[in-house]
Amino acid sequence: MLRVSIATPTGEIYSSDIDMILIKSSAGEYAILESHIPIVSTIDKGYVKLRTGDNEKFVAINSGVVEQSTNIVTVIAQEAAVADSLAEAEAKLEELHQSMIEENKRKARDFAISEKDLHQNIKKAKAGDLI
Amino acid sequence: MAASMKDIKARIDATRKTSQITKAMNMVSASKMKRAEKTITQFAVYMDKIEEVVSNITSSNGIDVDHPMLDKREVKKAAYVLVTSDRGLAGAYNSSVLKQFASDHKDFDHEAVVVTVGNKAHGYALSNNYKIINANSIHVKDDVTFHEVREICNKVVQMYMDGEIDKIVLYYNHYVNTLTQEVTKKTLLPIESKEVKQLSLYEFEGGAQSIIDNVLPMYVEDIVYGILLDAKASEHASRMTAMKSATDNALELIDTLQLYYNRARQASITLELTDIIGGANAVE
Repeated sequence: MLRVSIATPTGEIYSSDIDMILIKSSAGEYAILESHIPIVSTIDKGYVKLRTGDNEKFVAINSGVVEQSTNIVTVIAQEAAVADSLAEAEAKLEELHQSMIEENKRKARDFAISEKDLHQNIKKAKAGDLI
Repeated sequence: MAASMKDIKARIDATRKTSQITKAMNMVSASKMKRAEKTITQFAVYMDKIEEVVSNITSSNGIDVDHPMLDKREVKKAAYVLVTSDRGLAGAYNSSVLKQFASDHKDFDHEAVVVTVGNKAHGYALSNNYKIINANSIHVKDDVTFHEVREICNKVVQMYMDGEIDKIVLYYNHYVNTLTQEVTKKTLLPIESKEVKQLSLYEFEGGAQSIIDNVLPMYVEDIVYGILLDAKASEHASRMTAMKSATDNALELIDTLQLYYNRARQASITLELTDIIGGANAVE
């Protein structure tokens, strides 16, 4: 039995006991079973597959590190999404990525607009310069 | 009579309005701070893990790795990132960071350039003629996202990698608790490797060098992200405390003014009475 925990900057998104983890990155793929020697590897863009019995879970990952020692696997990813199939996980990750960018753009725009409003109002009220 | 009743009344109204605004700002900051605190706790899990991995890799003896981010070069030119807010009314939040930097700046024996996060730092750096890398101050939203961090990081880290600068230091307010924030200097690059208690002997899939190449840039982004979260929480906490005491002061002032108002009213009544009595006496 392996213990796996997947952490992103927004917290731990998945944690469970599994039989096998398969790591796929652009450099190739390998799997970790119980009692593997301590290992570290990186994922630039790829996924990990978690198998427990017949049950499989996929986690699509952008920029991550996989570390295993004493049967505890830690996957650290800047962006990650969990789903039941690979296609689903990848779609979810892509959506997450896009929505983050969109959200960021929207907020930056909103901020610029309100900032402009504020400056105009200050000018109108003759309240002086705002640094 | 010090001031007319009308004047005092106007001052009471103005002070009351101010206190309403400061109270609202206090509550807004309180809720923002709570959210920031939650994000920090979530992020801490992630940060602890990556820190563990990085210190394990960098301190593993016998493994021949080298990366520009780990090299300690002779410091000829260093970049200082000043993390402040865009707006004031946050107590000593901005001034403490800037004061600390100014006093350190006098003793530098190397060339210093600054990166300004927040309008306050930018304005300060401009008026002190510091050399600024970024044309406009970098704006950080209240809920910091990872994408913003990359924008901030990339340029200055690239400068370090190109050998243009030899050190990157961040100045920010570390969030201790609601009442305490302390100015902290953190050297981002070169990475200071930490002592690890127990070394795991790792197998490096793909080679230690390639792991280092991939992990370190990620690690640096993570540190900056963590620091920005920390600074944001401090900003909200600092503003919350400042606005709380502003509200208290306003209420106290209202009480005092109310007392003056009552006295003025009493005085005018007495004056009227003496007038009437004086008039009545004259008629007799």
